[in-house]
Amino acid sequence: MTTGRLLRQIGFSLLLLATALFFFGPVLWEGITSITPDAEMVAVRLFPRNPTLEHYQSIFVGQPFFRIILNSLVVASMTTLFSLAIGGLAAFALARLHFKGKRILLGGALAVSMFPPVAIISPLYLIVRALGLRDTGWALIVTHTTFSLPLSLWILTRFFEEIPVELYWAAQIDGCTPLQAFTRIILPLAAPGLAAVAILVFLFSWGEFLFALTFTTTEASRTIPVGIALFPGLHEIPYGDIAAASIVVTLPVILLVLLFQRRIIAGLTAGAVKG
Amino acid sequence: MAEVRLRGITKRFGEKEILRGIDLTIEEGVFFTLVGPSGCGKSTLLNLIAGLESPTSGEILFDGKSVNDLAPKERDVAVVFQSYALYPHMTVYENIAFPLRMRKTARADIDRRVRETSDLLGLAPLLAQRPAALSGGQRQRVALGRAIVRQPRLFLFDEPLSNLDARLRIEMRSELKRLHRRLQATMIYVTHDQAEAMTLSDRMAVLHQGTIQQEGTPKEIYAKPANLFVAEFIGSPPMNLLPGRRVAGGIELVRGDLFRLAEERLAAVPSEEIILGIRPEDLHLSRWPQGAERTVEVVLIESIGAELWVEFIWGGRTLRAIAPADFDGTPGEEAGLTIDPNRVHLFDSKKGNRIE
Amino acid sequence: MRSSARLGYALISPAVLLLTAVALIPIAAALYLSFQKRLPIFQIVRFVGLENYRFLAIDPRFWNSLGNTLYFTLLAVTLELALGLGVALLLDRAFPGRGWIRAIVLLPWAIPTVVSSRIWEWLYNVEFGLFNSLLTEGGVTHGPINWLGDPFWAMHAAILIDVWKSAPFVTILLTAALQTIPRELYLAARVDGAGRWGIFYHIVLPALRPVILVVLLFRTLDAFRVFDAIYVLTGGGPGNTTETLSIYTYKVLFQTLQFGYGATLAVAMFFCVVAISLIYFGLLGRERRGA
Repeated sequence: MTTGRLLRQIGFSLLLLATALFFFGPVLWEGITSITPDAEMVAVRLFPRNPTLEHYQSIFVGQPFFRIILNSLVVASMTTLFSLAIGGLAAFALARLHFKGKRILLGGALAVSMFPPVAIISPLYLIVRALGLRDTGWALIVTHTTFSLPLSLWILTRFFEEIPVELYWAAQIDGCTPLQAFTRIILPLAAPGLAAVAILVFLFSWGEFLFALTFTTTEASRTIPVGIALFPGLHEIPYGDIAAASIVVTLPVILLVLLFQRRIIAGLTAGAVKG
Repeated sequence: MAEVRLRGITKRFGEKEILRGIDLTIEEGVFFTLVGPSGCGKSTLLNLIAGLESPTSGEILFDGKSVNDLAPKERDVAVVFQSYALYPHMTVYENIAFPLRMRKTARADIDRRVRETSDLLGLAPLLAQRPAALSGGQRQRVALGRAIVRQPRLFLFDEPLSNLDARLRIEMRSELKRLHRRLQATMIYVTHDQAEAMTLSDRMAVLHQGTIQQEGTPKEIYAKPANLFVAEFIGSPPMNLLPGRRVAGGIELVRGDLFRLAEERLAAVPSEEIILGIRPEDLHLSRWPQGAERTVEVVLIESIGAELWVEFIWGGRTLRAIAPADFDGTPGEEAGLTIDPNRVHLFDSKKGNRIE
Repeated sequence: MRSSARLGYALISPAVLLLTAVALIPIAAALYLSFQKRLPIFQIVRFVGLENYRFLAIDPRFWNSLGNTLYFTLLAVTLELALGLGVALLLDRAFPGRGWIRAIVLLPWAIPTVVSSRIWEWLYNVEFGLFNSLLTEGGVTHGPINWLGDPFWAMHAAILIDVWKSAPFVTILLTAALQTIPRELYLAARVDGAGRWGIFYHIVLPALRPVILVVLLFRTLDAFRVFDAIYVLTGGGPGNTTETLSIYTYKVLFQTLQFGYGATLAVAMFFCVVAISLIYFGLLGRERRGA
């Protein structure tokens, strides 16, 4: 290998390393912090002398972090379910059925997605309070579902359109009603797309902050983002505990990303790249 | 089996008018081909008959009853698509069984009919495979199987052979013909390949820009093309078309050369300008110009084994003729040309229609 | 086939219902509220016409937050695009472990913004943060930098978090776009004598232009509406230097409880967003028409 090529290889590897460090470093550091005992927090070292699990203990025992995680899980799962169901049916109609007003729906959904959420939390807050839904998970589930609809609609419509129209036709010729063709032929073939959208919607709901902050006040219904933002601390900020909480919340995300990397990418690119 | 009648069918997509007033009757049990270049509207017409789309205006009747308001599944038609449209997530068996399942046929019956059909098409060893594992020809037969197993009253084929290689195509053509004879079903077949249309059909219609140019048996259409488009489209190599002027006693095609025609034919010609058509097989070339009516210059000779396609120049125009394999003319040299006036076609140069 | 139209309307109705009830009606309500003076504590509810808007026009804090937002958006989006493009180009060729690197790159985007903010907040910590300890020990600075308390650094600290979180999004979309460039184009360009820069400028960039515009659109809108990171990191401080429009609007609504004026601010934000979108759609439209 010539020196030129060797140098370029080294340079390439260094760039890769820098990239990995930049994107993963902060998470890694948070992980190290999470096992650093309070006593050692002052001295900043690359790795603690006495790693400990006291912070993880603290957040689950001392605080209702478990409850918070459960709340987030319920809200995110229900949101994903509703968003897929409602978005999926609408996307099928947009992709394969003929009726007027398709562009209005897509345009309206787009407009909603571009809206600053701050703009409507006040009317929504008033409505939620009037309906007595304050401090329940339902306010979040409904709002999350609604605001994830533009994403679901956009991406699912594209995935459904990608399935050759002849398959849809063949199913109808073979005796299916449009809905039957949808459930028996299109849906199974669109499963990867559905999975992609499910993950994206789940991640959106999992990390959504503004609505959660506005609509949940007590720990009974609090979700993770609010829990982490408003971490209680009497005298000093418990960075160790926060770190532990952050890692606990990040681990499922890491898992999702590792396992479903391709799907996530497929979902994101379906909307943007193919025009 | 169904007789299909189309009355005044038009179809518009937004601004574009794809079909402009189609009237057609396809009798029961006939193998009928719709042939035309891409964009002529033939696939759209097939979709209308199948019920996958609705006509902008006009009526579609099966056995005298209007089917305009019937969904595809109610029309009892089977379609074989160009891309076969096999369900990728199902095995061959499940693909063929699918229409029967949708009709809630008893499982024992499904099994029997699927196996009968796959035996008929030679698919028995492939029943457990998925479409992705099959070759193009095999997929085609599965698509056929899925159509046949339903015993529908009408078969529609949308260019089913165009994705196959040349040899397979010829094989499948005869298999389709045999199938037709065996099932005695009404089959409507769409293709852009005029050779395919000619060999397969009992009757055919030539489509161009949304209208039917001519309808009849392949023989009729070949022997008496109704207009310039049909004349050029049907037949390979295509008919030679020569503009000329009517003069006393015949047609002047080439300066100073009078092509003699019978008086009755000349009388029917409406204007001075006229187009004369002659098929390559009706142009006879001889090695030595002496003794022939005209002298031409050979440009190119293509051998296809049994015969030769010869390109030559006559009076500044390039023409094609079919010559027997033993024609030993050479490019660049002269040859003799004889034309039988009885085999000549006359077309109106403005409207393009045939003059008898 | 009219039945298919009926089915179509039936299938989209839940989506339409949700969007109308939960999004469109509140948006209309916000518009209505913006013309009111509504202070629940004092039980004031009265229509004041354009008074809120007139106040907006001279409200110094509004203009401050608008300026902050624009600065944030401009800088963040530019950096995200540059970094995202760079990483996309880096990852364009296959190498062992590419899947792992891609997962690592994807991670910041997937982590909830609030968590990312906490993570970076810890890095920025004045006494115990890694950055300060590395800088002082490395001899680059004498004393610790007050990343989040210093007006200059706070804004840029927030921008860095947004870049960290959003560059992956850019990378993913650009990577996919890069993959649609037929390899033969590269070969043809090399045969024609183009060097690396030439290939980038004449082959890669033109192919990426439409996707870049789409990415810019999404990122600009998101950056303009930034809330989570700043809320957690600085709450708008120090001294309103990082107060963006969303933060200001939120404070007006939920700290001073002025639902009327809060709605006015929100409507103003909406119009800014519409303006930005229109510009991008105009650019995209021209791109599509081949200008």
